[in-house]
Amino acid sequence: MRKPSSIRLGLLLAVSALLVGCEGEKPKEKRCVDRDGQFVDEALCSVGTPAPDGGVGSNATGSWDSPDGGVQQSHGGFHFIWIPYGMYGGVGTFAPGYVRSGPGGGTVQGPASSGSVSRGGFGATGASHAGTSASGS
Amino acid sequence: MERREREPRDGWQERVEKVGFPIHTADAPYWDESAFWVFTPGDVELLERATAELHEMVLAAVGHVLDTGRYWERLAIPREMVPLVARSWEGVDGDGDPSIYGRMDLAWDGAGTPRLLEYNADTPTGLVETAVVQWHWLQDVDPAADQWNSLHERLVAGWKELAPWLPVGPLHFASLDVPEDVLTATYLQDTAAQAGLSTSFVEMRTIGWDAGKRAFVDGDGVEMRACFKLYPWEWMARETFGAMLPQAHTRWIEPAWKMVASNKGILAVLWELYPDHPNLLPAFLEPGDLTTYARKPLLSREGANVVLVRDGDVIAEGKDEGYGKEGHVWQALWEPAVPMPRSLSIGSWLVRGVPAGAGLRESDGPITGNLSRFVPHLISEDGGGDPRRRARFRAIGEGR
Repeated sequence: MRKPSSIRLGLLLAVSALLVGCEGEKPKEKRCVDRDGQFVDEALCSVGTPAPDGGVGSNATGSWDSPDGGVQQSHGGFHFIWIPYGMYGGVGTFAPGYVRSGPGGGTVQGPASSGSVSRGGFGATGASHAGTSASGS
Repeated sequence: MERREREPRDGWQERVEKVGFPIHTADAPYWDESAFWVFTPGDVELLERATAELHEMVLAAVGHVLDTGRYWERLAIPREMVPLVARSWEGVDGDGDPSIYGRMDLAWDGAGTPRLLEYNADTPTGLVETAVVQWHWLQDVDPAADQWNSLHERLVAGWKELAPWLPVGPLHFASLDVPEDVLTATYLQDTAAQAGLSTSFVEMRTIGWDAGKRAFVDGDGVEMRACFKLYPWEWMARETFGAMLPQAHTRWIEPAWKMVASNKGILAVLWELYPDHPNLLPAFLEPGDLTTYARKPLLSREGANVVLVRDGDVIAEGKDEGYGKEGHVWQALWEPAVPMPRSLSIGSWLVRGVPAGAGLRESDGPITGNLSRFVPHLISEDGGGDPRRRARFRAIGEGR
């Protein structure tokens, strides 16, 4: 079977389009999109929002009340994506207009606590290798 | 196997951006379509067979490490992580917690047998350019031709296979805020979304630890019950939250047993188990009698701190990123039996343990690094003839 000439992409194109097109203006890092990569209201990615197709379990951030081992429901759901600012630098350069500077300035802070939740306990090693991907090559 | 040159498409930058790959250029093009490689169907069958066999051998080697328990220090895997690794290896009724992907880097000159240089089992990238960009390149330049590339379809199918193992709720995708990593993780997120999974993205530093729930949570406080992380296990294990890993119930993709498979010391374990295997190079956890070798840090990435030695003399060194304190593996130096127009690394991808395509990287020097150029490929019946014959390289051109 021969694969189709065009590969269907939604989320990836939403991220890469913002990388290419955000001259002089930094969009929010986290954005809510539908499965075709169209930006939608962030509330649609939040817990408890019904899916437009009326499917079961159709939230991007679904309920954990269901027991483990349950099959993920197919849905016309929504997905949080991340727009990278290249906080640690990174491999390659970008299309003209891409905003390289990041809000974090490459610094990494230690874990911060809010209530019973602490944050920042992952990522420090990657930051110390600023400018490189965490990937194998 | 043959290298050919070709004028890049008009407006190639816009074309690759349009299919989701804006990071095409560093100081020079990283995505390099001024040349391409041609494989015959026989070449691809040979590489596929080698990849599949190596994968089975790696699984056996991981099992050997766990069964014997005598490699943990040698591989610089923290003792505290051993229960987590063992649990992931024994998961799913003993079959092991599932993997979605990996990439074996093979050396091959078209004449002998492909040899495993290393296995990027945990956090391989180069995925978007392999799965998407080179496929669209082929549609533009030779739509009647084929390509060793079923990555996209296999990834979507692979997520569907994993669905019964995933807890109800979103499958999180996590990476550093580095464009290459975010694009790679987002592409995988895209394929999971196409498989019908509920997904969400979280930056690595945003991940929280909820001490009350004893669970990792995302930026909105949503429990992360399942997470694909494009962040190496060995880094996670040593960071502040590493101590929480064994007590959390997050199902990680790639699984913790990839901490063993992705360690370059696995090359020595493989050689111990399969000495003289035609797809392996001799490799040891000590230099021994080798005088011509590649010395690789156990945990280095992107060719960093790799040293190549021929007859006792250093001939090349990777950039210094401070790797090596954890130990090294000494691997016999692979050198082509026939002249190669470029130093070439064949990234042979696996999805759910099945060979799924190739991404080729060319380097000016003998070490593949993060700026080694990605060059597309196609399959053609006239791609160089019988792979058992000496490779014929035409249109080599001068080095760039």
